[in-house]
Amino acid sequence: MNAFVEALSLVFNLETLLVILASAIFGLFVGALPGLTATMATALLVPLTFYMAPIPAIAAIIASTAMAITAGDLPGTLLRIPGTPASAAYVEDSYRMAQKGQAGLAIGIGVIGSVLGGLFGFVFLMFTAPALAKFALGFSSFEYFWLAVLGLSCAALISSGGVAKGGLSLLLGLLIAQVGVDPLTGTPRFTFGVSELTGGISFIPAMIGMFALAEVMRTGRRFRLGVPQANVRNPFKGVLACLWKYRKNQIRGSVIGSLIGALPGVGGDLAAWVTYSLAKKTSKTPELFGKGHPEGLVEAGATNNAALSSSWIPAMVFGIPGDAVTAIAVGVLVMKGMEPGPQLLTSNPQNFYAVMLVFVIANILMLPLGYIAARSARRIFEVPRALLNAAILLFCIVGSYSINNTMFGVTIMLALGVIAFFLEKSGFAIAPIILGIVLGPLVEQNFTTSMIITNGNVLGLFERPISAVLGIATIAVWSLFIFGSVKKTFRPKEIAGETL
Amino acid sequence: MTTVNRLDLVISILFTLVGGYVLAGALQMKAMPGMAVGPGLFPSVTGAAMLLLGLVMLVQTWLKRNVLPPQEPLYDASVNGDDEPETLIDRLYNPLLLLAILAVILFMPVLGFLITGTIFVVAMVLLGGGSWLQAIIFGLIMTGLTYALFVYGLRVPVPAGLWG
Repeated sequence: MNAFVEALSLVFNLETLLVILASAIFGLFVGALPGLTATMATALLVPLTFYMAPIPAIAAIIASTAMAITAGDLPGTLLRIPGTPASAAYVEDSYRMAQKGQAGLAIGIGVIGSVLGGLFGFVFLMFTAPALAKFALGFSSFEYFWLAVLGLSCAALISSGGVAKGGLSLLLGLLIAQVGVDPLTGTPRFTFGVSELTGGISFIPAMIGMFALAEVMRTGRRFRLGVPQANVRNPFKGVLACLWKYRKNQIRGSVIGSLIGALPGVGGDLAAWVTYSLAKKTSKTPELFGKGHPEGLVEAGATNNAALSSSWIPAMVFGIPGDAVTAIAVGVLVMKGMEPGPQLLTSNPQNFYAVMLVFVIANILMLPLGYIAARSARRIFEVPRALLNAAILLFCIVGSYSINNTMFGVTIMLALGVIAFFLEKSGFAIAPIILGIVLGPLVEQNFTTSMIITNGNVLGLFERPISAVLGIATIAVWSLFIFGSVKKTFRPKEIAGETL
Repeated sequence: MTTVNRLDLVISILFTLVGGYVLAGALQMKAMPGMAVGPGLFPSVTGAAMLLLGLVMLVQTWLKRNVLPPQEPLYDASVNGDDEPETLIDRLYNPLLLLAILAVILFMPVLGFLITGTIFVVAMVLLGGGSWLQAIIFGLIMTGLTYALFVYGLRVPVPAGLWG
């Protein structure tokens, strides 16, 4: 109880509340702009959080992400450009609803459904995280190693591009994390005599380059915004009646979103696709899906934010992030000395409860801010792209510089931004690279410690019961995906052979 | 006619080479006397995996040499005017953007943040298709605001340049 009271004082102070409000407005603006993602909003915020106290820093990330993801429904509904991969699942329905003059209803479902889903995810996180943390207290380096590898494997394998590209993305991240002095013996690795590399590659310029610079390069100069075809007059009119009509979808979407989001390395994007297709399969009117029907929108919209909240479970309890945003947040927690893991919940529960309270505030803030954003969507879309790109790039430069006060950070940002641009062009996912950079030191440390304990015997990694289960699960996941990939690789050739 | 995705081909070769290099370098890192593992253990695992997956991607790229990549747009290009023909400045946007950042890396320590930042923003707005007036006004405001945010708000020094 004392911890909860302490958490209240950590959150309900002017600094934290102002940070939450400002970050939410920033997230809303970035998320509402087509081509700019929630991850980019987070990446641009991190250099600022570097100079904040731990709770406001993490509050900034939570508030901007939650708002950016919800605001991502605006360009999807009005311009048919999904703001996030998750909102791509139901963009066809929301856009068709706008075409039928129901833009307000579609956006309202997205906003209110997200708030309800987010609050459900919060309750799920609140009750499961402490129990999981107690369980995780018995974990040793063996279990942490396998859990991290399982999470990273899932993130890499379900990413776009297939097994090889997903795996290579992850390995690139792990390789970047190895640059610098070896933690075991102090031997410099892959520094090429460059003194700035001895301290390693900071994840902040890396992340800014990969998400912000690469994104500007990807959208480029030609990205012009059309004028929305529909006006949003009263965004919330009729939403409650619609949500009540599809209450089963709302509840199911929230539950499945919470469960999928809680899996280490999986994150929320996949969950929205799963529940949208589930809604279609179980609907009495599946033929209406994709033609402006709100049923799938309700379910997948609820899933979005429920998964967002519960994706913090593996991040907070085990220090294993589920997606790029929580990977960035884990990086910030480590930077602030709030090492994520079971100790965060058992030794410093006030910090955990404070994060929970920020979730609630961010979700409730979505209602007024979502309403304002929907009403002023036209004005947001009218911001000239030339000005926006220039501002983002200037921020990328200053943000990368400010971490160590050297231009080396800007050089890292530039180099990794270019690499990410080409990798993305080739179909690679960028999130596993960031996960690799953030989790690389944890994986290596636990791997090396375990190998020292087993005297270099790899089979020793399977000797403890939980680590054996996690290890076998990891191998099973890889085998399953490799089998599927081999099957897929040879299928087109057979078809081509038949046609020839 | 054989069509290979050249970008995939180049990337897979690069990953294979980097994987091989990392593996070779890691194998040369010796363990401390009396220790079962050394600093090269984890790099050797990641290097070997990268080498292997690089080769897998290389083979996959070759096997898919006659298969056209799917051309499904994520959104309706016509809605946003993206179906217009690409101009020379469109094609040069990214190389010029990168050159501008390189110029910032070189000149900011000398000229300072305020001068370099303003010139950079003006150049970027012009490159993005904005007018001179827009570029100058926005360049001054944006650079000034960013300077104020970092220097006075966050107490983070930005490069002052040779003029201090």
